Amino acid sequence: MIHYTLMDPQLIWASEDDIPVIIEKTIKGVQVLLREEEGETWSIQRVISTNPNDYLRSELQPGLRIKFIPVILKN
Amino acid sequence: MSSLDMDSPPPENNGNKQPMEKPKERRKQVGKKLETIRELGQTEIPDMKGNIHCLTIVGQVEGHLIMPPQNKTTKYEHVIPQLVAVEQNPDIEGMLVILNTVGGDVEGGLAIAEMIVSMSKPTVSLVLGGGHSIGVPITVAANYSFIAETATMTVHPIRLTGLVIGVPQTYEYLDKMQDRVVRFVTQHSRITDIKFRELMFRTGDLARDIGTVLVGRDAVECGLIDEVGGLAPAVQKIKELIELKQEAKETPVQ
Repeated sequence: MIHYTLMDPQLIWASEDDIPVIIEKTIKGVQVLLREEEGETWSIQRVISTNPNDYLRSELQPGLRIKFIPVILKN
Repeated sequence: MSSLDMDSPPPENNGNKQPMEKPKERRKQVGKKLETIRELGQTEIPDMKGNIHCLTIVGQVEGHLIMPPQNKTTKYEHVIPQLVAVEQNPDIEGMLVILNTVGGDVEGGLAIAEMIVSMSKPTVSLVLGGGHSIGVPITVAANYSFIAETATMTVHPIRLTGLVIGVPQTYEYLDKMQDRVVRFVTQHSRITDIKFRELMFRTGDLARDIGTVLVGRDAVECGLIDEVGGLAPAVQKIKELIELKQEAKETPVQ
């Protein structure tokens, strides 16, 4: 593989012990990256969208803590 | 004009069937807005649709390998479908590509650059901070490119990482990869092949590497970038390109 970058390979490929758990989820139609925090909560890391208005949405602001609530769906 | 004034009903609404319900509803909405401002320090964002979308290329361009978590990355599996969506959505008329990247995977970067260059919608790129290495082809892929006065672009040779088989074919392969990048950049910008290679292999400019750092205006002078500018000129340019495209559409074929 060819990596065309300015950064040192040692810096890029060094593995850290404390690896945060990051998952990808779609919240209200927008793809976001979530990082696992303490107490079963997740914080919004990054919004992945080309729509500039998605970045202004208050419910998708980076750093915001969210919780997943299990719901039983009845058919 | 206060927000209350803006919410006052237009005169034609006076003859509505339920005149009593409207003002109540409005008051409730205004009250909710004020509460949000007071409680959370947030203002409500008006739901407006923009015709320009924005693609940000930040950190490392991540390609065939997942990078360790300490890296900030832009993944091609995120960017490529987004570009397809932008191309297909009839409400989106133009795209702004904002770069602040240190480079990354050659094939990932070239894939993004080829996607941008083959889009039918007007594209404008803006380099802020840095648009190094593989960021160069991504920047020149847009129809028009801008660089901030303080932003830099580093042009340097590509290199192999990891285990390398020490045979002459490896060097040939490396040379081919190099040519892919050089050809793309020279085809989509005003810079010549000779000039680009000269910048790429220059010695004495970088402390630990060969190559050149182009700061803002230097990148424009050598023909790599079209103009020095910021956000407002970039948005203005994209609007101009959208207008030009619409005019071209309107003129009948003779």
